[in-house]
Amino acid sequence: MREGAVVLVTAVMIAGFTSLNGSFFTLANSKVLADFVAGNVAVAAAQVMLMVVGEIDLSVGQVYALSPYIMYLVYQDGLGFKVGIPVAILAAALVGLINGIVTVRLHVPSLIATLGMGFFLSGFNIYISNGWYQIMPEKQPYTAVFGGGVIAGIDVTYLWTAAALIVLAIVLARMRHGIWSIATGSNLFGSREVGVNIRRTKIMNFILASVIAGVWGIFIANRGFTFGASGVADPAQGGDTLTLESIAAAVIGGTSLLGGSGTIIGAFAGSLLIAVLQDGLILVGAGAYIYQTLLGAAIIFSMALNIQARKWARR
Amino acid sequence: MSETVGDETPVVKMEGIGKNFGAIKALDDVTITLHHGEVLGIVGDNGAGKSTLIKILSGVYQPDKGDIYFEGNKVKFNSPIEARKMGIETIYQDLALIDDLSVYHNIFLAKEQFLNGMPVVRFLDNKKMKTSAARFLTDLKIDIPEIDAKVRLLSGGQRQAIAIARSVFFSAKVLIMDEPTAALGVVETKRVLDLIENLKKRKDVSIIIIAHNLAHVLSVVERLVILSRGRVIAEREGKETSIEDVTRIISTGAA
Repeated sequence: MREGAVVLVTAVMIAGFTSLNGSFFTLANSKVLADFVAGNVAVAAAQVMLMVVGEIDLSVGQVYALSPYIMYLVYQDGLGFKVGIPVAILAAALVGLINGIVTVRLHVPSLIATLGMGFFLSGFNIYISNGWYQIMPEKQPYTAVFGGGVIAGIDVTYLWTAAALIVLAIVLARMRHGIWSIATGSNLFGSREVGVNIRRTKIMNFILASVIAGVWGIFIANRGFTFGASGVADPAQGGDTLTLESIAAAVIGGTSLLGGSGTIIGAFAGSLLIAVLQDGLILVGAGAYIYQTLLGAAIIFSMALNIQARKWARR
Repeated sequence: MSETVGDETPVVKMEGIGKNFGAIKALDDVTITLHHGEVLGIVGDNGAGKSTLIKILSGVYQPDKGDIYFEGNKVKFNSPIEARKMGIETIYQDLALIDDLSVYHNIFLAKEQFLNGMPVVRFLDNKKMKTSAARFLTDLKIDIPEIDAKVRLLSGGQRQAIAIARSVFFSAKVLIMDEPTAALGVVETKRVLDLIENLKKRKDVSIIIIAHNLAHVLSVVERLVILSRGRVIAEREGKETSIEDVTRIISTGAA
């Protein structure tokens, strides 16, 4: 199992970091790791769904900042989170719909379509925010559901994240949309020939990726409420770092850019590996550049392994 | 409108078919019939018009002249989709199978079966699809090591067999096979020819085979139509003819 190998590597890394710095293997640090994974892994899983249909989304990091800021603007207008959150999610869905239509109907490769959307939104985010983050001091019931609450000592974001991963894994294995996604990515023309609605399948995954990015952006903006502080709508939240880490997690977890294969558990394993690598290197006092160097090597190594494994399976 | 031969209505009758591509007469007054449960071979040299003829039947081309009757009714196919809706399936060499899906998901692709329950959130009934696909493949004596195996891992003959089985499973009435053994090795070819034999016994699907390899065609067909330069020049019963006979007709262009 591909994911098993990633988990094994992660376990070795955890043992290594723990031997170098005892505070790695503590409850406090596991919270740091969990926060990182919960912020990224759902987006990585949505990226997997897109990569399965043979597409990619380079604008998720910008949607991750856009949605909470729109939520803030509506809330600021006096309409509260009750209106702000649905509007913010709709905005994310709209971005996904546009990405999908530009890719599927106008035949612009998604790499370019979403690169353009990413640039557009990074400018747009700064335009609507004047480049400043905003504090949202007032806790409301809706913020508790959307990332600001704690149930039995567990952040709701963790629960939402677990739920999202389980639902996506079920969709991929046990629902028609999952089978159609694999079919579309594996053999586009063959799938269409048989009667698979390849356009709708692709567009739905674009919308899914955008909505998940927007919703998890809202969760993270509301995270301050979980420890008695305020929410923050930050136009610099997420960004290209999140986008690239979501792709990295998917690829390390065994998802192929060629389409047709990818797993949600792989996205989780990849995301965990990235979290351990980043956090562990900080704790042992290594510079940030080492993290980037190692992550880069891990991505290339994983992809090479993936492609060679496919070739080997074909024999 | 109805067209009958004796007391049996043929599944397909193509009558007086003519097709020109610019100045080239690809087909000229071609008439063929396909009876229920029959395996018909169409042979001829390159450029004889075999491909044009089946592309007209499968809706890819529209004829300039002549009529097509399907189960006695005059029909007109403007696209392959229209032909497929009637139950005319074409199996191409380059198959529309999904490498990354299992055998049973391939067979049920776009015709999935669901568990009973919620109307909007519908879960696939993988178990049911798996058992019915396995049973059907066993009925057709198609030997697949694992019904869960991804199609990527199967051989060319197994893939061909699954593509054929998929069409038959969803009640294709006419199967058009374009060079079904062209890319296959000896064992694999036998596998596909055996499958055609099994389908012949079931009598619920009529088959048209187009092939260059006369030995393969002659071993399974019941009737043979020989085309030359866009015309039918001979018809033979499968059992009564020999490779030498057919080769002579094709090379001299005369029965």
